[in-house]
Amino acid sequence: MPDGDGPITRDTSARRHALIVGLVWAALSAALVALALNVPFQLTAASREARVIDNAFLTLLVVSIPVFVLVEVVVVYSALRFRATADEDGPPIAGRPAISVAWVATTTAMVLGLAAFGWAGMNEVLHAQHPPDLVVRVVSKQFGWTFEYPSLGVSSATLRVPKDRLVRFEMTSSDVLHSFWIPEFRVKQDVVPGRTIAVTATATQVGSYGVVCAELCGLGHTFMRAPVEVMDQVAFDAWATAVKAESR
Amino acid sequence: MSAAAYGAHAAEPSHARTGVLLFIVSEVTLFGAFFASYFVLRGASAAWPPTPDLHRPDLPLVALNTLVLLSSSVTMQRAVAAVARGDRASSSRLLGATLGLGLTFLLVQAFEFSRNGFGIGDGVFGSTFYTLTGFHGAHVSAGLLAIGALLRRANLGLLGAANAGAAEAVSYYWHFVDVVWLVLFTTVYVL
Amino acid sequence: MSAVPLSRPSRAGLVREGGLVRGAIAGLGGYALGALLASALGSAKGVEDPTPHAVALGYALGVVGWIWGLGGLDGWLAWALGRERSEAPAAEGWRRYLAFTTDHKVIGVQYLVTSLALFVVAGLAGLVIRVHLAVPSSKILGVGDFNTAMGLHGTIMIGVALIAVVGGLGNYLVPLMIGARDMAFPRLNALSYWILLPAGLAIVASPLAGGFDTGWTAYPPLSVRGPLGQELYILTLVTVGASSILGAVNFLTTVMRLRAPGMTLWRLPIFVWAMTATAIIVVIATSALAAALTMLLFDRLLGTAFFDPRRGGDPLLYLHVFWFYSHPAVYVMAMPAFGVVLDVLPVHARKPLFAYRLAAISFLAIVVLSLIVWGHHLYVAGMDPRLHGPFMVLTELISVPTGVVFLAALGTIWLGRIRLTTPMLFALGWLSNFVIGGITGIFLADVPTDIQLTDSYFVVAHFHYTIVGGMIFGLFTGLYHWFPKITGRMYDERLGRLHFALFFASFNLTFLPLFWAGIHGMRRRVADYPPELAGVNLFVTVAAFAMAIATAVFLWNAVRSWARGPRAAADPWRAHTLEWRTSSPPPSVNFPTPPAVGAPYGYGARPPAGEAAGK
Repeated sequence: MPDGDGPITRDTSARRHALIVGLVWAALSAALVALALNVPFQLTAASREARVIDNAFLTLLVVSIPVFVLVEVVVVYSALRFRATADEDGPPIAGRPAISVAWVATTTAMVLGLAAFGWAGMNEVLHAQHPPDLVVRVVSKQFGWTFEYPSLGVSSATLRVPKDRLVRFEMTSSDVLHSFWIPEFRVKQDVVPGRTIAVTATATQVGSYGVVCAELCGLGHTFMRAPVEVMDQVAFDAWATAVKAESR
Repeated sequence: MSAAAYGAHAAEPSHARTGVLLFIVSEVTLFGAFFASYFVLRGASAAWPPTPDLHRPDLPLVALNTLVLLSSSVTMQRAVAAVARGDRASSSRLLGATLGLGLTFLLVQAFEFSRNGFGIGDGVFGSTFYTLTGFHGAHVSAGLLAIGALLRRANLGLLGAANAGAAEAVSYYWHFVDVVWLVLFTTVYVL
Repeated sequence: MSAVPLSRPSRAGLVREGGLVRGAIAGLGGYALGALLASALGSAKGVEDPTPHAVALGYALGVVGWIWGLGGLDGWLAWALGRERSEAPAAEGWRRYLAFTTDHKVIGVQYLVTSLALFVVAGLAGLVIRVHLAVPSSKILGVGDFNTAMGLHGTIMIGVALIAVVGGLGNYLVPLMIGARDMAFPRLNALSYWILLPAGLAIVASPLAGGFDTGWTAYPPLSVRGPLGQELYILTLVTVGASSILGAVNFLTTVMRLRAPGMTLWRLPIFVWAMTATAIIVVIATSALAAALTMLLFDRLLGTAFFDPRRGGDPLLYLHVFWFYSHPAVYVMAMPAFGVVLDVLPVHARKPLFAYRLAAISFLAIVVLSLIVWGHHLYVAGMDPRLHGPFMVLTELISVPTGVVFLAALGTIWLGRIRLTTPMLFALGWLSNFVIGGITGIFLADVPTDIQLTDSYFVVAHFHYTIVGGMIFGLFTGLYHWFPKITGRMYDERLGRLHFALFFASFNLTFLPLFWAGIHGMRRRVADYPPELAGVNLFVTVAAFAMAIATAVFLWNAVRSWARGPRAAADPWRAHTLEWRTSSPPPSVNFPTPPAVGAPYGYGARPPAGEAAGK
């Protein structure tokens, strides 16, 4: 690359600047990575998919931190240490091919690595491991959800699912675009009128959560929610039996 | 550009040609998006036309109209050559012919539409058909306005070798409109 | 061009001669004509309520009337009718800015002032949103008003992001930087600007027409059913898109054909490279938006079925066509700012631009990649899942050329001799902000993490970091750096630094917490949220007001300095690019004779013996 370059004499002060920045970068990155790994910042993870996704998030975070710190440290260091003290120019360095090559190679490798990792995570989350244990039909409309259990002949305004079972949500909309999001499950799928779209999830933690609509669907969008209950299989079966009995 | 050409900034012929070519790129995307929509919607439809009451226009008339439009490209190209060699009579004649052929195309198309039996509101079939042909027709109309302007200037003796760039630029646009029609004819009428 | 000194026009003259008054009258006349025609046609065809049709056709003819009234069509009409054009005396002084002036420098200023005005309007809409969201269960706005305020904020800001640097700094600087006297198509340039005013009027008027409740993305089927404000939204964006395309054609032709003798490609300032790459994207991608919005308008007005699943249509078709443009559009917003920052850093660090050629080539790589990654907006939308992986890889690859921009920037300031002037401060702020914006983009490019983060405030924070932290900071970098050139006066450095300190701090305090809100499940475009997010939201609202105060500091500085600041030298920064070879402000004829072209980044005096010359 014919970028002009000055005489390549290495000077101790340039090396020293790089060393200091390197040390600060390493220390700060390590500290922030330690923070990221030890301070819990995520919502409760209540599904198998949530674990995979949180893991993906943490990986990206750990990789991002050194990149972020590098830029900030160089900016701050330069602003402080390379201030002009007189009316002078800086050195006529228009480029260092070795550095450019290393930079492009490193960023490319990092990105491809992250993409490969992401691809694996994507497959884990989006491809069901085995046929579903339970199918729930999710009917969405402006501005509420109804959950139907075809195998049980039951319908409910609360989404109840058994723990540790692979549930397949088959979703339809009768009007506009909606989106089915259970934040603690890390499950999100838009619902498109005119087709049935499926998404799967395996809840792993008993508790009360919520499904919210995540695609602007009109004036009631903010309030389009439904409760989600994760129950033990035994409790779930008991509920199903009770509801069926009631409806007779 | 050379130092000598630097001062003569305004309206170099190459500018108009470059500008029109770049504009044509954006038009390719416009029609491309409409064609893509056509293919997506047609692909998702069990049958095409989707219902038996809809039928595509008869091919012979449209094929004839296609020849009309193609001929207008021929006359346009010859008109550009006439302008470049300063042949005022031929320029006027050929530009007039192009204009006439273009108008004929539109009139025949209007006649064809009147016999179609379906409207733009008739499902995706009508939507895609009339949007594609309608946008094409609008582009033909705009082109005819430009050709009309060239014709007027030719008649007034204002179009010659010195300013042939404008005629060339318009011809690029006109040929592009013709190519779009060929694609349209093939996809919407034939396939 | 010589100008006859213009005395104040007579009242009849205001109507007879092209200008704002005649433009307004003809615009209204065109609107009335179009509205009447459409109403008549509509009633004839049995349309129940032809109001939207009337508004649409009225707007179209109104814009034509407006431009004709301004005198913008005179040149072309004269050409078409074979008439001799009588040169109307050109306006002088401040009146040039209110007329259909073809001087790129005037048009650049028109764009800048209009962009800043719209920025303030959209910013106020943003403050309205933040006031409403300051507390949970807020009753300040009705939901419809909230949705409209949110849609207005987004739509107008997108417009500003598309035109401020490109139309403002781009128009002003590119001809000067390449040593040309004007753009290739000066009349088209003026037209591109003046059609924006009806567009701005339309969107600002949309609340009066019932607003629109779809946000700036206008997804069907919701957008097919919305109130009349949705038509105005469509008409605005189609106009802005047309203006963009015409502008881009102008830029590309100018850079291709009007470079001064000796201005080879590798002597072009990096800002020109950035503008060129941006213009290529605009020419290729923008029509897709026109197509999407046209199909939407037709679904609304003509009963077409493009997005109606009950009649064979598909809402996802809109998403694909819309995002085919709207993703590259973000590089239209970001790349000119890259160019500004990379052009300013060498001047204020007095060091050559590091890896200049690699940076220029990266812009072209960004152009290519930006056109093939739109699917990352559709990971959870119901797109064919086989497309997820490829879009993910391609999207993440854009980090590589974007990373080169950082290489160039960091390599330039490293070992430089930095002056912490306001432009330099904003450029450094850009570096700090855009790395966050870019990195958080990776979280959204990655399919697993995007599943959780999309449609949450994480996305909102990400794009504010890239657009405000990136484009707006780049805009301010350029505005301060070229302020003396454009206005002929120097801005107040202390106020500039105050603006920077306030804006940088308040911007980060406003948007950094929103990442956290997104991770904790706050959806975007909602008028309310769970009580546990109350603290964050209140904090963000207060910080947002600080941003407004910072902006006020800037406006005060800009206006006051332009009116009364100290006169600026031709080249106060001792820079090397051609715009500094003219007076401040430049004369109406940029370069009477072709300028002498040298290297753009020849900073770096011969170093004293022993000086560092390596990294």
